[in-house]
Amino acid sequence: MDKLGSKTIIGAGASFNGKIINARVIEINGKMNADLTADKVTIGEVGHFDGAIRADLVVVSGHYEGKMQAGSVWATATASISGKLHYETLQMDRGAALNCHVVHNWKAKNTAAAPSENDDADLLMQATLDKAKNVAVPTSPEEGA
Amino acid sequence: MFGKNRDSPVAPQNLSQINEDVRIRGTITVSEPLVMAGQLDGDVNADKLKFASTAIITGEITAQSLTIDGRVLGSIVADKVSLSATAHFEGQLYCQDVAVDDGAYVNAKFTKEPVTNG
Repeated sequence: MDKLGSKTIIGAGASFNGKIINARVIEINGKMNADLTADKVTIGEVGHFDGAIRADLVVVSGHYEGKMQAGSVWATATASISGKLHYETLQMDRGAALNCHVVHNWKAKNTAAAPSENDDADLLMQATLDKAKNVAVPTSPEEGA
Repeated sequence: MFGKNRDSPVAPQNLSQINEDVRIRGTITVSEPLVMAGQLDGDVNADKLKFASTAIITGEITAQSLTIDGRVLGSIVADKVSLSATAHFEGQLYCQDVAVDDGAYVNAKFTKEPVTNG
């Protein structure tokens, strides 16, 4: 078996066109025109990425253009980002160029908060049902008689 | 979260490698060595190319030197090709020098071509 380590690397002399899925850790120093799904993406200083990224963590030191959906984004001093950026946490170094639509993703937090309210509602409903039963039980024998 | 690789988040590398978990549909053009261990549905253009034993390639491959340990389905245009014992190749082969190891599965049409590709 050949082991390459855990990283996928697109070298400085490489150009790629297409779709990549299931790349766990990917480092891009070349030119990419792609739709990428990964855990961790690093766009190097000489890297050019054009296209969509979906990842947990994206470190941008090069040029990015497209729609990025990431848990954490780190734009280093040499980064230039344009397009759309959806993030949970964002870190920008002094000098980073963001020229894009930046959206913080609230979704996860809202769904996390929702169940507790439902639980309360369920308890309330249960209590009402119990009460209704208690009231209903004595009346039924009379109806039977 | 970001602290681990703060010193040099990006060290420029010329080597390209595609990991075994990765699945790709598209075209790769590389002027430097490329090691491919994942699944590719598309074309590859490279100088020095190696398909690891986990690689599954479907498409057209153009290279100067090519080493195959994995599965390839398609056509290959290269100067030098070596198929190792774990290689599985079906398709067409246009090349100058071929080396096939004992145990390699080859079901292909060979053509000796005096072409040089980059």
